[in-house]
Amino acid sequence: MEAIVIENLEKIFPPDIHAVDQIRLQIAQGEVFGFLGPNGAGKTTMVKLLNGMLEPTAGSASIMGLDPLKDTTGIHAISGVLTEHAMMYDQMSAVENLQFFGEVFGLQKDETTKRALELLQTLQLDEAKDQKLATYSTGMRQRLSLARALIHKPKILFLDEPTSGLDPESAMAVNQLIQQLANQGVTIFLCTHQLRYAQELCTNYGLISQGKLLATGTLEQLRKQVYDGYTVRLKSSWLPDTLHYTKIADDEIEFQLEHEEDIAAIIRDIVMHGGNITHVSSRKMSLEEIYFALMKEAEGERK
Amino acid sequence: MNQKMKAIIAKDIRSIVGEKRYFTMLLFLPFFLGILFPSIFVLLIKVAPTDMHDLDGLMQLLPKDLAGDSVLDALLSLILNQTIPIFFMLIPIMCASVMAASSFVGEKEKRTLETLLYSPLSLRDIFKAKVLASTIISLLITYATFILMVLILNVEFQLLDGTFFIPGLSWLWVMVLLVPACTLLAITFIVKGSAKSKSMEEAQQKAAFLVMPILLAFISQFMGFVIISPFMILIAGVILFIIGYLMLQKTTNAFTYETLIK
Ligand SMILES: Nc1ncnc2c1ncn2[C@@H]1O[C@H](COP(=O)(O)OP(=O)(O)OP(=O)(O)O)[C@@H](O)[C@H]1O
Ligand SMILES: [Mg+2]
Repeated sequence: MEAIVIENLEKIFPPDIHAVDQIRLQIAQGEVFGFLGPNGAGKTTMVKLLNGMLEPTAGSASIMGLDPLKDTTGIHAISGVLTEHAMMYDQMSAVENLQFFGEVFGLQKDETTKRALELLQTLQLDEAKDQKLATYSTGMRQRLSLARALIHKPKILFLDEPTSGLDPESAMAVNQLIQQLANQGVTIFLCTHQLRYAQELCTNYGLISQGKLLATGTLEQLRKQVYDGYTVRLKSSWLPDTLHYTKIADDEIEFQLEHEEDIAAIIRDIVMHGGNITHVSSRKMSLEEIYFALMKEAEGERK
Repeated sequence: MNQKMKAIIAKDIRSIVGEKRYFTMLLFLPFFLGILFPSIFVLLIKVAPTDMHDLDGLMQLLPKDLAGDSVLDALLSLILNQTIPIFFMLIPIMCASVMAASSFVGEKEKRTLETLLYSPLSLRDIFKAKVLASTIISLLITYATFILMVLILNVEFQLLDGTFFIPGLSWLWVMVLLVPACTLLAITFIVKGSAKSKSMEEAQQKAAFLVMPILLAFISQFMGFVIISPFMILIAGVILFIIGYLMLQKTTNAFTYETLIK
């Protein structure tokens, strides 16, 4: 079943900013959907539209069969939302904040407390759990916000930059938690700029720029849109004349190859000519490379 | 009302009580208007009624055939049952605006309102909970001040000449109608202002506008223009309560998620 269905959704801010421009998209339950795009692409606007916080200019959406405008509270009950601007109470401690939001989501007090303590432990905040939020650093606040978004065990998670402002250790803990939730079947809508993390976590992607959806699909599907072959890196004292390559360093080159098997013939040729090979590796295009290629293509089309 | 709304009410009340600066602000006016002010009049009239020219205006409102001590008693009763009740309404106005400013504007300013908007409570219920929190604080403080004032006045009356102070009918209408009406109006002003004002202080300044009619009523009474009968207070109370209620409804209904997260 589809968790999120988006039908020609459009949001125009005055005077004439097409923040979300005619987007159609479907996200199945249990997917980790990476929504990627540069600053101002329309990611946060999309999250707000899907949660009924903004009224679309045109089009519609449904979350687990619920309409964001007609059943806003129903959607809020099953979704957890982490956005950059949603803050918590400075004069209260971490535990008090989570207890409060748990109650607001209709949980029993002791149930909330138990869940709050578990989440604080997972997010490495248990030592600071009784400190007032006023003493929290940006990264601590960010992790606490994630705990807040998870307090009611949501079926869908909307995460807008969950790892921004986090140190590598915390970012890793957060990513592991996201992975764990995904394994439990939670649908995750993840907006991020950190493409390496995205590649590790996401099962599907949507690339957006200036409100327009450029491409969607799994990593393989996206690759097919750009280049599905291999990039081979080679360090050698001698190179065949027939090879089309780009120089990376003094004696290091990169070239593209449709099939991995063809590397063998090239290596044989070099060895036969007495060349010394000190490094050879091959890889497919990474999410980052695909992202840049698709963004560049879109920019070209706009011109 | 459900548990979710109760959580918001409890949180809002706890946060104003916990914040020293606002809580002292809440208690200053009740102390001044409810305790200090009436006692000063009692002492002035019962103990040292030498120079009463400042109260000439009020004197004119008294029946002409009174003489001696009964003039003073009538004057005191006039002050305690006509003048002080009108001044007393500053207490709910002050309390409700400080509380509403913290609960509505403060949350918007600190961007905690946005987090609350993502909860499974409708916008109406969130507003209802916040209006209730402000109303509870305002009524609690006002009524407590009133009870304390009656107690203290009775102690003073007893000590000075063995009489009692029994609040007149005006007090009843002020307490059950005008105080809630002023509370609703003050909240309305703050909430209306919160849409435009950037900060808590700015919103509070706008609500200070409400104080004007009360000062006018007070001054005109001191000058001897009008005597405000309990019946007039009853009518004014009913009308203001209805206006306050309708304005609050209209103001809160005008809000949408989109206008609030800007
Ligand atoms: N309330 C608003 N009023 C007017 N314009 C807005 C509003 N919110 C967003 N925009 C505009 O809509 C566009 C998309 O903004 P959005 O915040 O969705 O981008 P984003 O993809 O989340 O960017 P970032 O990666 O920087 O968070 C931007 O041009 C932004 O200026
Ligand atoms: Mg954003």
